[in-house]
Amino acid sequence: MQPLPATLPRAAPKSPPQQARSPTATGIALAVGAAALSLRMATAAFGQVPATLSGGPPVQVVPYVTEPGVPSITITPGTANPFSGADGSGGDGSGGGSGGSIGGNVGSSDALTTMMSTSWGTTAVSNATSLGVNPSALAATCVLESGCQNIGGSGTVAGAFQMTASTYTAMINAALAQNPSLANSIVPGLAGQMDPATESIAASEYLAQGAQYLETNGISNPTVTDVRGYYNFGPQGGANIANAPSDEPIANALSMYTPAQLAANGITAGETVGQWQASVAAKIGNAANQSVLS
Amino acid sequence: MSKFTRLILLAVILVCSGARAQNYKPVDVVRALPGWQCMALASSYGPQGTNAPAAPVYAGPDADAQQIGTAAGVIIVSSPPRPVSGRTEIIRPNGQKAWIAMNLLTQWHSLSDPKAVCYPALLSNGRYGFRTVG
Repeated sequence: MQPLPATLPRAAPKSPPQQARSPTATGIALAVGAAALSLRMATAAFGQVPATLSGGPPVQVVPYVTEPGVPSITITPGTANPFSGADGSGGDGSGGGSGGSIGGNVGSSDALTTMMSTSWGTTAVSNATSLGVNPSALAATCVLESGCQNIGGSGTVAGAFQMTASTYTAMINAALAQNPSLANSIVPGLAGQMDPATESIAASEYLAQGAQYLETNGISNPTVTDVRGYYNFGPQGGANIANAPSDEPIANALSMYTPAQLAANGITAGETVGQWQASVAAKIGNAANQSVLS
Repeated sequence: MSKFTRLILLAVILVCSGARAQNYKPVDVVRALPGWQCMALASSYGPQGTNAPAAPVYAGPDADAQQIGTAAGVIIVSSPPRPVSGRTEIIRPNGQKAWIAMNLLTQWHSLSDPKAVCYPALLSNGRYGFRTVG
């Protein structure tokens, strides 16, 4: 994995005119804050009432007299919504990876909104769903890796999901073996690494394998944050981070790393497991505690 | 920075921090697990490090016992180990008991903090994990 791009420093805001330092200015500031809070609450309220087409589109009116110049559009009633798992079936961030739980916390997320704003987002959601991966987990990966931008990286790392060439090749082959119908829509060869829709297939497979690895090791219902540890620090490191309390020094959770190796992996002195997890959550929002497998 | 700007920034920070706090729930230690100790796969301290493959775990100590999964990272082993047919009992992160080949294990130790001591613990998220004391 590549180090995440550093947050760009924000320009210092210009000082307002002197007359702004009056009681009126305080009132305006409070009003802006209240408006922002209201907007935030209103958004959350709307988010709890998702519009879904779980049973397919509504019954269509069938005209018995055709209108000249109007194209014929046919919608098959009962067609299942392919993104029903991606548009708000839960996702309140309350999963927490409880041991032995059945079923997942899978649903909409801030990260999913980011990925869906790209030209390839809809295809990526479909690819994740076809491989049994929560689309929000896939979206969180592209947000963390590249901001969902199709960019190059160091070495062979490339694409919106920043996979190495060898990992991409292994994962795309595994995904196609699992679901051969995906072969019809991919960019073949290593060129697919730089096609976000194609790379999303390989990234989904990688997420699925990470979650299955952790489940095989007794970590029930791995969350996006759990699998992020697997992504960043390998299978053994991922398992340790998933089973450590928040105040545990991450250096001890990664007990097989020397201080020099920890520094090379971006671990700062005294950093805890909880601080690392919180930093992940801060970047991907409410996807952090969702299940990877859908 | 003017009072006006500071108030605007404060309002924005309050809104944003409130939104983020609900996305992360810290995990605590509920209780220690006396009679158990931290061990690790010996291979994880080798050249492959954190990419070392997991080890198989079984339903029982006998050679014909069914494999029920694998073990990776910190492994919770009975203390002292009581090997039967070369295998010793462990607790998996989901609380399930299993058996693992004793010769695959080594004492847990931290390469970055040689004084750290590890003990197994039940965590507030329901998983069986560990805590270290430096």
